[in-house]
Amino acid sequence: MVGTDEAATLAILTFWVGPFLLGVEADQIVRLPPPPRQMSPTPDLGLVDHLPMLDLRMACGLPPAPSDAHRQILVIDRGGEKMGYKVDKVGDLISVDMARQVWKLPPLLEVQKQWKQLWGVCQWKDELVLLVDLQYEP
Amino acid sequence: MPDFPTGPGKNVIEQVRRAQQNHLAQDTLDSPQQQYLTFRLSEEWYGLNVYQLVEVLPTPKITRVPSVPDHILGVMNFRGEVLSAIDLKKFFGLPQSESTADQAIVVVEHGEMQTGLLVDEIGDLIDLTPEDLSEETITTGESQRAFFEGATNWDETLLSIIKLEGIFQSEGMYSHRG
Repeated sequence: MVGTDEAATLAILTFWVGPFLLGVEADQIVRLPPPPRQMSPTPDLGLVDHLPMLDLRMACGLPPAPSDAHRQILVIDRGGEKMGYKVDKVGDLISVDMARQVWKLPPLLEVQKQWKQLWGVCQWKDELVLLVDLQYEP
Repeated sequence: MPDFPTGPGKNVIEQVRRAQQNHLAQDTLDSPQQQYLTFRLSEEWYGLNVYQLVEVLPTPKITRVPSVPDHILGVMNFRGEVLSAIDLKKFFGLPQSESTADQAIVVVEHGEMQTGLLVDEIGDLIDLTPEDLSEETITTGESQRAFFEGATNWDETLLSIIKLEGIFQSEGMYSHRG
């Protein structure tokens, strides 16, 4: 049964947008963002500032952040095209059991969600992490 | 409403299980009598047929979800499954109040889907027959009439009987808004 264990787990990078704890499959990330204090100087931002950029605070229905100085950018490969997503803070790289810790969205939320990239939920410690597919183009 | 048990869900779930068993037994006898769990939202009292109840539990941790209608509180883990949690007060447009220790989640089942309903206080189990219910006593507007089986005066209080089917088939629930 080689490979079963690998197939049964999902590597998730968690991140915060306002009060929301979110997660994205780690293999969607082209490049993990540097720590926030390294984001302010232009050299780091310069590497991504040519990318199409979306602020996930908008997707979450939140007002713009007062400043981008301490925010971070997730770079996602979307069908060969790189895309930047601004988040408030990157959390942990976690591994979850797909059978026991990952669920699709409940039907009510699947019907009512406005953020189409939202697809599921995983349990991490005593938190539920909302899972998003940032490669999905609504 | 007199003599309600204190604390959310205290002893209620056992009563509900017994009531559900009785309900099944009553079905075989074609008894018109039904049992209802009463609960409070704001200052109003409501009843729900115990046949639709799964569990009553103290309010668990509910994780907010972005960009969903206000009446959807978020998601919660219930026995290893993730359920939606709904604020019925917001759905009905009732006045909001602060969270209290009396609040509880009533897990209901409708069409094989389980959903958590936040209520302000759990009441008691009562018996009603169809003759006890009257549409004329429903005080909500016409737009909300589909959410109720009927209403009755019970212990000098108006008790509105919830119709889950009407709620869940409405816009903002399992039907798209707009």
